[in-house]
Amino acid sequence: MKLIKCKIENTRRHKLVNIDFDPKITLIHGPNESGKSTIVEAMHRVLFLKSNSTGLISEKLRSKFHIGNPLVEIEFDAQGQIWNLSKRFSGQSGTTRIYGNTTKEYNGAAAEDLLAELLKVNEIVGSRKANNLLPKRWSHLWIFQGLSSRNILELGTEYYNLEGLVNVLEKKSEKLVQSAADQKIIRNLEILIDDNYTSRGIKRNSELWTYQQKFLKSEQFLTETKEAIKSLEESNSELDSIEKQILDIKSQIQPLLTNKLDELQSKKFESAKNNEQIKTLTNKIELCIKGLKEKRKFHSRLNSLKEQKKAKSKELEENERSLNHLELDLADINKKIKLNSNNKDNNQTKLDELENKGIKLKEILELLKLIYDKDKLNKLESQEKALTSKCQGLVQEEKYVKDLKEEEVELLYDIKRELKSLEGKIKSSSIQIYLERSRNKVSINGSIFKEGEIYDFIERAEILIDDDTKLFVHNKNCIDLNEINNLKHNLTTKYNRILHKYNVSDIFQLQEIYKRKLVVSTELKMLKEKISMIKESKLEIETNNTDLKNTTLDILNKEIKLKEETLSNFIQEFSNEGKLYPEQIPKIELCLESYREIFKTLRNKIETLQLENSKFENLRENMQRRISELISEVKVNSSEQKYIHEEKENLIHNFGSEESVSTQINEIKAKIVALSKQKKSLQSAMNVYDSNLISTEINKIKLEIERTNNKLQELSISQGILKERSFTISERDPYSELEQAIQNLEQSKTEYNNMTNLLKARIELLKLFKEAQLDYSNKYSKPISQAITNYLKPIVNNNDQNCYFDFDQSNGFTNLGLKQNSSLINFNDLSIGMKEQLNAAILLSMADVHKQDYDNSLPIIFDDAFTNTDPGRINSVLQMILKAADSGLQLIILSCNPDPYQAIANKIIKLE
Amino acid sequence: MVKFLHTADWQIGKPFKNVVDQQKRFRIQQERLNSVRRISDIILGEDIEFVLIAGDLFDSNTVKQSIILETLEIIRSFNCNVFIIPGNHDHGGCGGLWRKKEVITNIQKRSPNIAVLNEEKIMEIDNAILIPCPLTRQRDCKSPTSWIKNIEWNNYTNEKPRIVIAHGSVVGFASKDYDNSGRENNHNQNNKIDFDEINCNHIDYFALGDWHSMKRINNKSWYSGTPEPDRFSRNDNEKRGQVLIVDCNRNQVPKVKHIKTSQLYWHNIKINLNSNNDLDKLKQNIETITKSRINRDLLRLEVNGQLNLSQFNYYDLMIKELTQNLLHLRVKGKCLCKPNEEEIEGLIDRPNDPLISIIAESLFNKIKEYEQIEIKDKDLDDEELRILCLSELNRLCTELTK
Repeated sequence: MKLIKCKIENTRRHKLVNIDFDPKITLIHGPNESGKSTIVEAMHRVLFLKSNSTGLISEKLRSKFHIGNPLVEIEFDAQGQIWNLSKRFSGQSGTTRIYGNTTKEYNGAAAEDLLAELLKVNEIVGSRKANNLLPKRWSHLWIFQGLSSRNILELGTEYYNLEGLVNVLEKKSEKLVQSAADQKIIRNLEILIDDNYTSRGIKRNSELWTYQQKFLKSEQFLTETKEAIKSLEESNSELDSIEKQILDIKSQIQPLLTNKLDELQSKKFESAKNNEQIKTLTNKIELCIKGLKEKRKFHSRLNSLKEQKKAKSKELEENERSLNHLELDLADINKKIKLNSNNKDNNQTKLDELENKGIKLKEILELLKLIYDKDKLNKLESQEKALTSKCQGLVQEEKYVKDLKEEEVELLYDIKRELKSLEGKIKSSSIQIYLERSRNKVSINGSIFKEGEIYDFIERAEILIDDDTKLFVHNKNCIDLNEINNLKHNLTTKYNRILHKYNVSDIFQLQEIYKRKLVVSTELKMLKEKISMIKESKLEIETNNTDLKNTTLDILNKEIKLKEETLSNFIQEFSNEGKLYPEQIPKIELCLESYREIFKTLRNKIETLQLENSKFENLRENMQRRISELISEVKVNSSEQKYIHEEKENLIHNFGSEESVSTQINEIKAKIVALSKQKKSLQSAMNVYDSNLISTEINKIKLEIERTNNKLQELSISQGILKERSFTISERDPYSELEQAIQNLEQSKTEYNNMTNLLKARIELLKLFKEAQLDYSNKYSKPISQAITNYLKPIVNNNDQNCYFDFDQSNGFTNLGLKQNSSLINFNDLSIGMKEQLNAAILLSMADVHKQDYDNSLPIIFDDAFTNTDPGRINSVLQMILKAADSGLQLIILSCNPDPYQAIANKIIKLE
Repeated sequence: MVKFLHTADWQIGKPFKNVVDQQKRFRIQQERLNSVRRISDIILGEDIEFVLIAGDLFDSNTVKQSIILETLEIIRSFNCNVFIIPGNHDHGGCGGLWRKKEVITNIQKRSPNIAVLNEEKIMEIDNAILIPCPLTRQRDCKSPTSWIKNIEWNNYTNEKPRIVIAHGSVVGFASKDYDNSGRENNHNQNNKIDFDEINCNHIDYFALGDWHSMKRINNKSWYSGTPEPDRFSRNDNEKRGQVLIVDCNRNQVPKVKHIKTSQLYWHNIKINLNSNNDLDKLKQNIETITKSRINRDLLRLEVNGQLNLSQFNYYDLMIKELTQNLLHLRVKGKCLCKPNEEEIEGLIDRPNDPLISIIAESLFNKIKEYEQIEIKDKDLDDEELRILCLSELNRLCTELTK
């Protein structure tokens, strides 16, 4: 379908406008308000709105400037014919007329129906549905002003005629769309599966679950039944074995044990007799052994005594030897101790001498220090006295100028300065009259004024010239002279009063006095400080030597003299004259220090010697103790030897000599051997009848009998339990139960398997449906997405960038955006310019698809559709438009700025 | 010359729990007792001197007391000596019914003609020497006949025929026992009778039990089989439902003949159902074997295949009818109900529902492809899944239309 021409009458600002469209690209341009959008709207209404529509939607076309109803005529080709359509929008009486070049003319409703058929829309919209349907008509082909950046896919499938689009795509792929029934089946399958499964497996209490539980229970029942039968059989076989054991015990073990017991008891009786005989023999042997033991005891005692004596002698010898050694060591130690004591005494004497000397020296030193301090004290006192008298002079002087303050001097200076400025002021406000030349007699203020004279006045002057001429000169700038004079007087009085106070004639004298006052008070301060320092030094000396106050230098000197006499020898060391002076103090102190050093070393030496001696004394003590011990040991030893000897003698006396005892021992031994032989022969005779052995054997057998009885009892208890168990299980009739269980299992398993298989089939079916759905979605979204990407190519300049969207039957195309590599940009996040371009691409792509239903062409209108596209991109847009034109689409571009499009437009129409 | 009746494996008291209908179950149980009554008739007609029952007279050691007493009552009516050995089902060990006080007392009091040979001990009777090999356990790995080799034959007369009574399978001849559902029971390693251990010259007849169909092992060793079958046979050659009448002399080959005792018919049918034809064949087959008897036949039907809905309904009806008429019907295998061609066509030809149509077509094509494949290469689970898918799709669509 292509638009050929259009005539618009009485429509808004247009009285009449005729437009011939180019089959390819037509550019309509004109300034704002030139009626571009009116043309688009009028064409849209003539095609899609019934002429007899009423209300706002048709009123909108009506012109305010031109009389008459809006008339729109449009010529277009469609279905191989050229059609002329004309509509007059005059409310209910509106008319429609259409005719093709080979058809008759249709009018009214028939015409509208034919138009709908040609445009392939359900109906031409009447006023009732206009609000809803009209904006959707060809909204995917015509971009109205201001709508270039909206996402048409978001508005709903009717906005881009999805049905028509899919129809074309279906025709192309010769397949059909997915239907409501298809979807219902998918939903039902999902419900049927969800009823039985959750994401974690079989759903509780579902049909499948019930079958599964039944099956599991049957399995468990079968296992239990089998277990019961097994348990029954085991109980029975155990019963068999118990029965056999009981029989064994009763018929074989018990009689055997009884026989054995009888036999043993008879043996026991026989052995008792033999035992008597053996006992007698044993007694005899024991007697012999006793004798032998005594003899042997004597023998061994004798030997031990001999050994003891030998040991004691050896010990004695040893002790005496060590005693000798110790005594020698003791003498040595004593010698050492004596030597040390002498040494120590010598040192002690030296120490005492030194100490004496030191004490004396200290006394002298103290005396000398006293003399020194007393001397110093006297000097300080005379200094203090001098300073105090000087201070008194100064105080006297200060008293005179004591009240003079710096401020008073300053004030005097200020008054003087002010007086001077008052003088200046008076001088500056006075007027000077100078008489340069006069032949006449001139007097001023009564005084004659001569040539060359100058007269100064402040207030006014009365000049008389030759008495006939009188001039009054009045100073207009004159100051208040009285006030100034008063001020001056006051100041002068104040000034004189101060000078008088200090009894000076002028301010400079006062200045001098003030300077002197400052010097005196500083000096006085210094002197006072000096005196207090001297007093401190005095106090220090006096507190150090409390006696100093009460003594005099003479007394001290006398004392020194006394000392000089008593210590004359000693003093020689420090003074050749044999006299002592305080200047010798450091020398004496040095000497005293050396004495102290010597004293310390001597004392250390003495201490070492003392320590050594105490050690030696300890050693000596130990030795003496050891010696006394040894002496007592020697004594004990010799008495022990004596005892041993006595005991030996005693033994020999009682038992006879050693040799005779040996013979006796041999005799007893022979006797024992003989007796033992006899006993052995008796024992071997009754070895079989060993009574102990027999008794243990009897006990053993009795125990065995008891154990057997117990076992028998245990067995019969087990037998009872097993019989009970066997009976209980038998009562259940487990064999019948087994058959039942097998039957149940088989049935429940079949049911469960059938249900599982049915669900498997449903899952498989759902899978098949989902796969088919996916195929189907791709079928629609892919070609369009490819077409859009193709259109976008010049714009995005990037081969990796694609347009993407999803597709499903009910919602159509959704999630529109651009995809680059793996990142996705949603439509809403694109710039307005990009939105315009993407929209244009979508529109052209859809038109490419749709056009197949319209003789491979469709008119596309862009009304100011690229206002936000930057100039750099506009070329790409033009390429896109050219491409669309090449593919057979008819493009009508309306713009207030024709420049970019002029190059590509095949026809340019300018609106005035 | 002695004439006796050899029987075994009566298994009285078998519960037949796999028969759901209680009345029918009772009927089958009762028929086992009826067969004993028929044996009684045979004994009267055949001049029998004694009867040997070679084990498994009762189905288990927990058979109800009333049934035991009723059985003993019938045996009493045999009017001849009856020698019984315990088999593996009614073993003679502890807990076995032969050791129950009530049973022993009852036999002593009411059926003095019965002797339970529960010990490995030779029993010399008027005209024969009986060598019983009782089982004392359900499963025993020792041969029940192993004690025979130790018998001092010199202590016994060489005039009377020597008859071994034993229960168990024979080494080298694998007997098959089945449990009640017809599955094989694998305890063949137990109670094995080993002929190699025995010097067969000393024995004139082996009266064997355990094998439910009649079987001649050698000219003097026979399994009598059960007098009334209690399960579906595994092969058509099995002869079940009879007793053996034996004429026996010392050192002579015994003469053995069998007499039918059974009244119930156990059948096996295995068939593939894929068409009306197959269904007709099955119907005919069943009519032939059951001869339109009511409540006398038991059938094990093993089916496979796929039927369309109407065929399946017919098949379903047939099964219901059989369940009613037969004493017991056991159906094994699975006959799938797949949508018929018209239904499939209906699914595929849905121009408005492309997904249903595509999926139905793809499933149908795959099923068709599968039909061409040899059975051995088929993954039957896959095939079943596809048919189920198609059926379910059909069901969902039908539901949708409703």
